[in-house]
Amino acid sequence: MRLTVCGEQFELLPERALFWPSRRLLVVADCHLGKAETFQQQGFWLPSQSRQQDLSRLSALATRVGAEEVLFLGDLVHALSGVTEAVVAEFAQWLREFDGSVRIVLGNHDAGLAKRWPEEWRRAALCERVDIERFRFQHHLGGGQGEAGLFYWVGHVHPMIRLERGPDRLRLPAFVIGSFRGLLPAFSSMSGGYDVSPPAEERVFVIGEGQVYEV
Amino acid sequence: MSPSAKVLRGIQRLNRTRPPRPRPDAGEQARVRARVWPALSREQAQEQWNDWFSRQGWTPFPFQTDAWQAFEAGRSGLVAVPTGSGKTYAAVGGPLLNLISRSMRGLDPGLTLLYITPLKALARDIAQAIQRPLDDLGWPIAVDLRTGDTSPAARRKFKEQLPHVLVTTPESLAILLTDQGWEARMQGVQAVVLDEWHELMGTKRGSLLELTLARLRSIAKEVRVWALSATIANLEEAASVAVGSGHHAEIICADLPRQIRLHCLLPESVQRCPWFGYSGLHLLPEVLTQIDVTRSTLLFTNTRSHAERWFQAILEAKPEWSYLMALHHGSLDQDERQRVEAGIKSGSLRLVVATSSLDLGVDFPPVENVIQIGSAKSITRAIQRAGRAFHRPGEATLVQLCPTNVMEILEASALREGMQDGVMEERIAPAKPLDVLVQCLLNASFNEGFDPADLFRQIRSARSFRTVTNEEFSWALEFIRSGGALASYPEFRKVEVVGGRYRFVSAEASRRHKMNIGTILSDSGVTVQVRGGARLGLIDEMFIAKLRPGDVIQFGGRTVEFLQMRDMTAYVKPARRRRPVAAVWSGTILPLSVQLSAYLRREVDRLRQAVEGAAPPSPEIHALLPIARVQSSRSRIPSAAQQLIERCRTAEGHHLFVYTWEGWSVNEGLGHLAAYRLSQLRPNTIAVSATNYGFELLSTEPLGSELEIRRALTLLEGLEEDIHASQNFPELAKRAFREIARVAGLVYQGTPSARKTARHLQMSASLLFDVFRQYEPSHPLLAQAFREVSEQQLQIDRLRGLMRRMDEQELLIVPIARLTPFAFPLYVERIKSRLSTEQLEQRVARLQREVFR
Repeated sequence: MRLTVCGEQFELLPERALFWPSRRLLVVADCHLGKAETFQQQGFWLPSQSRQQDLSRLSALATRVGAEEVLFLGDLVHALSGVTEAVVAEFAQWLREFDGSVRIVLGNHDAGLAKRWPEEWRRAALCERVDIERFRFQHHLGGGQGEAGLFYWVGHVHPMIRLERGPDRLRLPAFVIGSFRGLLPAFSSMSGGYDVSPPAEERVFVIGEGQVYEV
Repeated sequence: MSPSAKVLRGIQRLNRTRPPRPRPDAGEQARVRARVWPALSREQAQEQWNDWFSRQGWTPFPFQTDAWQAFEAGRSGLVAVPTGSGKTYAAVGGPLLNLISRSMRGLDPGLTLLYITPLKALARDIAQAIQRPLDDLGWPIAVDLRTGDTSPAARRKFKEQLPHVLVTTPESLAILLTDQGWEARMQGVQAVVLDEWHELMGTKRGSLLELTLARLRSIAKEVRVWALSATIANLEEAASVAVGSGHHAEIICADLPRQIRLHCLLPESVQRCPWFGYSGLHLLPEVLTQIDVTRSTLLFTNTRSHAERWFQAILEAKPEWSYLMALHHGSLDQDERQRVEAGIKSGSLRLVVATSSLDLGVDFPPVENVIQIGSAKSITRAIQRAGRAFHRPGEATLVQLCPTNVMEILEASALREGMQDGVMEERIAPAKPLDVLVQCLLNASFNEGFDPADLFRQIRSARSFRTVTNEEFSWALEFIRSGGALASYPEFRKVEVVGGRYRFVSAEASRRHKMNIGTILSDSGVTVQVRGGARLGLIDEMFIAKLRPGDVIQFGGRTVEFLQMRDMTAYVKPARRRRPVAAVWSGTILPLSVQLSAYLRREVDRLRQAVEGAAPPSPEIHALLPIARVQSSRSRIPSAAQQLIERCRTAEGHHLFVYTWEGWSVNEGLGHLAAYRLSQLRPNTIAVSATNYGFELLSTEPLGSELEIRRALTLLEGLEEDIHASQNFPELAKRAFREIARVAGLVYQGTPSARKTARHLQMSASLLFDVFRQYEPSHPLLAQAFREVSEQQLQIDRLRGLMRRMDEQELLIVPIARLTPFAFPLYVERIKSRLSTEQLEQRVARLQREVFR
């Protein structure tokens, strides 16, 4: 789904990611790597396979759209304790295989990890936020309006939309685009989400069965 | 002023002071008293006990003396007796007599009697009932209670010492068995009483209790188990599940035959009765004439929401009764419920609007008048509610039924027939649910943990788990130790094996599991609190999510304005505005029981005969004649040998109405099955809606030939595959999995405060369901979710029976030009999800006028 925001073209991708074609920039929010391991350590059942699947999904997506840069929009990992050797190794492998630049915006879940950033992940540049032209990419934009004149692309919320049509009840991940900020769905295939009910003036795009629909 | 008005004023004045709260912790006094055990022989104790009975003006019933003797003889068993007939003393008499005469040696006998009640609200009443004779006789037996509401200080105390008699719930008992050294404190238990066993047995709470008792039995070698149950069809099975496999169970039936007279309130004109609806408020005037506030009345509704609406409606019609009436349902705050129960007992409350929360126990004197709003949907339940009514020897107990729609008038007639024939429903204990098995293993992993061979033996001694195989048990062991063999769980840490014993890896892990013990799915409830004031109770999260600040709702009989949500609490303030929205709780409609369905089909046939000129066999059938005539002129009324199907075409599409009178869950299952099969023949979009009486298929394309429809409805071949492939099956399984995940400890529940700090451990069961399906599709707990849906929800055996019956019947496929009285509820059922309750009632009234013209 193509969309013009502040005069720039963006693509909302059904893989739960954002693409900026003129910059060949792929943006993914809330990957929550190591979530399964965090749960397992505390005695909860969550299988590890989905991480490999998320990373290979990301590689395939970067290839498909021809991305030259990948920007992680915060919450790359779920918790410090879940960043096990296997998690470090697998993401390091992904970094080696992707031949473009990588920037990682830190999110609230990354706080513990930022101080002990794995050596193998040094190739990626860490930042609080990224400003490109009048667009600011950061993990979270509290309740405020942000700085005037800027458009914010943010994650953090994992927005979900409930749709009810007759007997059909659906709950789908969504992009929510307002006048000064756009909310991205979580990229992780194992993240739940929070139901949002955006005001009428915001545009909502849901992802269902490999397609993006405006509702 | 008229005399009755004077009485009323007087009562109102009295009630301005709230009735006193029950005395807290009655057992405490006995415990601090110096223990001087009287030197009593069994005979002397029995004599004192009998004297106490006579001083109350009672003569022991034969079932009571039988139970005392059976206990003395060392037997276990079940006492089947209606609520409120002295069953508590039947159960505790034997153990108390035994205790007082056995303890002559001067040693403190420790915990001797465990009394288990399904409702914590009942625990205090039961403890007081047990305490009363002990106080009067000066027997120094300590009675106490331990429920989810027990204070942390009291819980700590129980880790040191237990009273002689402990009243508790199944969940609290399971928690007591996690305390360090419980084995030593409980090895002297002589008796376990299972109160309201019929309520527990058909549920997973009952399954878990079976396993907890199996573990207790391995420690307390002399324990005798006595279950107390309402009369149900399969008493023998209930008894043997209670006492465990390999133990003989004695059954004692109270010989208290009670005749019940069911009177159906009928509107003057049947046209005033809606053809669809659940509230029954159209009969408010008729119901009001049946209430006399100088006598006590209980008004039962089937849902909490209807209790709220009826309470409000009566209050508006009779504001002068405000001091005399109260509301009682499971979502109200405990203090409020206790106040109401005390009010019923003291007689200060004259009218209580209640849901099934008052079905059980509460040892209050019978009320003079029982009114049931809506059909109870089961014969046993109707009898149980009738048990609340006062009855004079030799006279029948009267229950008034207020039908909420036309079909319920016919149901009333069917209920009466069923009661007269002495028909009752069964309670079936779930067969070895694996989620409960997993929880049992975890419950046994505290402290030094368990030896697998011992625990396996104990588990197989529980009747519902007697067929657990080695493989199943090994799977469960591996599951709690490594997370399971199939998917990868490299970091999994929960239970470890040390010296052959399975135990929690850390204090943190055991603490977290302790909060998860039990099988009750905690309501995703939000506390409702008056700003700066009292807590009112719990409200459904989905309902509150739709409210905006300023909306006025009706909750706990009060009209309040919603202010804001903060920290899982909805703050409200009192409001004056009328026309509030009644709070709604998500819940399911009660399905018709198998037995009542059969009677209802017979009543349909008798209705047909009446239309054809036979004398109406009941007042209800007589009242229904005008509507029956509309039905038979527009379509047909089927005989017992016929299956009626109506079809028509409207702007919406092609409709097919199928009437089975078999309960909504079976109807929903058959509807989706038929929809799936017909859409396999040719591409089509088919919507399904179901009620207790039938289902509707609505499709964009024609549904198929008569033969195709017949095959879709009756073909048994490939039944299970087709059900699994039908559209709503995964959705139902997902819902069933929610409970399984909770019981087996797959998801973290914790307390609201703990939940905030442990947010990174939150995982919704539905997401977990998707994850398991993708990475571990053969997971035994997933398989259980599918099995529960087919066996319990869709009731596949019942569905098969229905399909066989249809196959033998003559199929009447009748084209209709206008909506019939039978089709009307199905039609409304489909459109109702789009409308609010108020909109719906107006729309129904209008549609009905149009249909009747």
